[in-house]
Amino acid sequence: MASTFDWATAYARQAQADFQTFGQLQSLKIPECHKLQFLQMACEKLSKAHLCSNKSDPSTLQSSHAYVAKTLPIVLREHAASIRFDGDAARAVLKHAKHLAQEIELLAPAVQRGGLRPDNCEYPWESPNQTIHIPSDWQFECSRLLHQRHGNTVLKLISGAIRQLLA
Amino acid sequence: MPTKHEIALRLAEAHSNLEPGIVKVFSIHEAPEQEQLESTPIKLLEINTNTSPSGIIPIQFGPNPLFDVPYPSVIVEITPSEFELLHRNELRLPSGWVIGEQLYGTSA
Repeated sequence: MASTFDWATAYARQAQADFQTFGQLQSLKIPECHKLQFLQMACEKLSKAHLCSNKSDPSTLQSSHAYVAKTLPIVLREHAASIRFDGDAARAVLKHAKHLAQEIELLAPAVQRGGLRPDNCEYPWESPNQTIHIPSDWQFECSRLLHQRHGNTVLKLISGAIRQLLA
Repeated sequence: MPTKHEIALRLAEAHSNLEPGIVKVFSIHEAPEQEQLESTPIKLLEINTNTSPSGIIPIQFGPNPLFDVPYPSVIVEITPSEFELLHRNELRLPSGWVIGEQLYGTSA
């Protein structure tokens, strides 16, 4: 049976592959939903890599997408502390990271926050006024946050946290 | 090499400097024979007013010798309300884990 370390490494390696693909897609003229899907997958696996322990069951981890909003901010905060990124600048970036993590988690279709946020990267959904929306046309809040001040720094922290796991 | 206690204090301070919502940090202990092992992680229970009430979710981190953290660590972040539930045994830490010394924040 594989060890928890093996599982954590496996999640980290797939997070790295997903994040690299997210980066490579940035220069392509494709719908934003496809780019964001790889960011969501990378962040989910980065989070799950930190949830692998002898007290958790890998199959339980695989069956849920709702780990990013809680776990990713803590993972990024720990990474920031480890690279001595601190002070007001770090606090502002990590506050932004918390908002982004909530939006990234919502990109998975299974996460809808009680039906209030059906917008996601993969499947069409119906709004309360009975309009059907499709992801490839949608303006995602996650994209807006990524393009705001601190968005790039959050992405750098995600990349650094993945690399740190594989070092 | 710094002791686990020294590293735990440093992590508690660093985390509370980065997250203004952290009001208290406690260590979590296992049995003494486990705690003596370098492979047993430092465990921090962080009470954060800015987090979601999601229950006990231990988040693991490996040792990071490059940044003077030679031991693995675990962070459990809960809300003040969840901390009350822990005290009333309505929320439980994983088996064998016990709340220890307060590392950051004012006493109750």
